[in-house]
Amino acid sequence: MKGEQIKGYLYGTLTALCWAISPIFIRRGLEGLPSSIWGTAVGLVVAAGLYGLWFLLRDRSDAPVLISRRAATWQILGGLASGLGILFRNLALDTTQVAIVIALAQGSALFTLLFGPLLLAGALRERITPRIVFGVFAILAGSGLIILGRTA
Amino acid sequence: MGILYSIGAAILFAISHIAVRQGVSRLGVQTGTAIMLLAGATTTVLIALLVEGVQALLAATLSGVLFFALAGVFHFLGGWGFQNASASRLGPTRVSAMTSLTPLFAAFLAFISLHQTVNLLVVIGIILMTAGVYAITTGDVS
Repeated sequence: MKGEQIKGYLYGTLTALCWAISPIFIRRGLEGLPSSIWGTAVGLVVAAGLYGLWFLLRDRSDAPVLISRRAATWQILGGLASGLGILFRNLALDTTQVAIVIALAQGSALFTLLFGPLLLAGALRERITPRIVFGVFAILAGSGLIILGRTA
Repeated sequence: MGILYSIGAAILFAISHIAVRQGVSRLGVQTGTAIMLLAGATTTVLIALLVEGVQALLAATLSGVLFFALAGVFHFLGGWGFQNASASRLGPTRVSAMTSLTPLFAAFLAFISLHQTVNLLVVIGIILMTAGVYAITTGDVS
């Protein structure tokens, strides 16, 4: 495995760690702000504000000279989809058991496996091997069992 | 309805993983994350204003707002930043699979901080997840 790939897996693992920590604060936050929609909005505004401040003050040596409109559109779609996804998950949590919601939301890996080859073109298209498919299903099954085990 | 919302969330997260891969490959991680945060913040504030109005926010306690702010720092600043850094190096399927490790870390944090016990289901789950990560990380990367 190349160095950049190792970094990619490390960053993916750190993403999962961050997403495991945030619900601890959300649970406490809901006691003082009983609105998951506003809670999500507050979190995003604070994150965007802090990041924006850093972004303006950073060393710009690696910034792209020209921002591609097509790439920016994809990134905006990414932000909208992620933000709406969290809203949907929070709305689901209002009416359905946490274990069911979290287990179903983890199904994103399966949908990525299905949609990825359709939406990605050229060099960005992934080669999906049986090994990758096995890995995704093993992680999903493991995730489901951990959620079940913690609520049993 | 909750199940439909959950499946909807999974589909939206998948679309996000794919879109981010398309975006950051050309924009770079820093600019990509800035655009993503701006789009997400604007949309959710508009939805919150339309659905619940400003009263729900004004009635909140300071600690409630601060805890959500902290959650935002971890989930959006840390989580989205690392997700974009990962997506610039790996394909969306691999990124999506790695982010599915979240329940594993949640169980580990609960084990440390809440002293929750680990039962057989959790142990089998951890073994399956480890096998899955091994299969993906040692598989072909195009």
